[in-house]
Amino acid sequence: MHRTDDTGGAARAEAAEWWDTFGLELRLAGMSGAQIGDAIAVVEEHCADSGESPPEAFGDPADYAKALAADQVTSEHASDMRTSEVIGSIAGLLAPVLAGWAAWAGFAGEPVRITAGALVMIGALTLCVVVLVRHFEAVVRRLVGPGWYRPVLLALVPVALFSAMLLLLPQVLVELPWWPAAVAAGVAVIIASATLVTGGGGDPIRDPRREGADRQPRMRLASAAFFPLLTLLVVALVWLLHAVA
Amino acid sequence: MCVLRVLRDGPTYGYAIASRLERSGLGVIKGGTLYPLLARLEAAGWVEIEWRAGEGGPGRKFYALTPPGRDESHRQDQQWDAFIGAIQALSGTTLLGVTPGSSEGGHNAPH
Repeated sequence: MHRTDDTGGAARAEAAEWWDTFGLELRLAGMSGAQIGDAIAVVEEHCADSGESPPEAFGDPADYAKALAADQVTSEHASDMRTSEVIGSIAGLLAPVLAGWAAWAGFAGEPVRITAGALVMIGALTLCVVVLVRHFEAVVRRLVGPGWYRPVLLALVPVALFSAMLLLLPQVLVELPWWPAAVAAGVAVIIASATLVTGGGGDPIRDPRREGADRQPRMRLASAAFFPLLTLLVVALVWLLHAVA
Repeated sequence: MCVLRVLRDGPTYGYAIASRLERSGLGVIKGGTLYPLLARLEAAGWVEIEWRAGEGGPGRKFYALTPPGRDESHRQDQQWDAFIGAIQALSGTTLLGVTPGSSEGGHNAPH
């Protein structure tokens, strides 16, 4: 996206920060990709005509985004996603887990052992996904902010919790051959990928100045390959661990 | 009201609206004020938008009055005229400070 910026490093940095905040606030306000593309194009057009920078012409980006969103058709909540998008997200989460189980069991010549801890972990991950997509704005506002500790906690806390679940609940509840887990992983990959490609898992920003133009065509193509590649990566890692062990 | 009045003269784009209002003496109209207002007018059905290809440059978003918007603009003009008339009747002067029926011209500061 071409943006009109003032000369000077400080002005460019201020404008860049303005754009980042503006885009985020528009999404959090529940505006669609088409509406966001329209809002961005209007700012670009006005700044090109006036010679002003976005901060000069439009003021605080969060306030401007909220003022725009108040009068346009938006989702009731930024996270008002369709059921298919929730299912796609959960499928995307389960695909590598199931693939890892299937690969581990398959390479070891053993059955897939589903423990109580694994089921609790899957349940907790599913709950996290549902909470995130249903209450996207509230969650993002709490997670995104100043302070070095936020991304650290965001990365470490889930890993610690899920590891604890697996270690503290090792009771095997059911044993299955490796192939049902592999089939389930394949189905999950297809569901997750289809959700992304069909736009259910995303709402690309569209430039109204180019009819039908998608500002993120490469992202949509990349998204189609994401889950298959991730799953293959997990299988490759499991194979490597077996080969080394 | 002022934005609707500008649009009565024909479809135009945001910066042109702001410039016209500034030249009319209303001061600088920032984009952060103008475009949310235009969005409200569009949501009310009084204004419609169209992206038009630019002349050798990026496209422009043009705003135009809808028929209900034109009716609303005239209605607001009538409301404003009625308001001014009421003020004049209360103060006993016209906008130019002339008492109706007086042969004197010039400015008489109202109290």
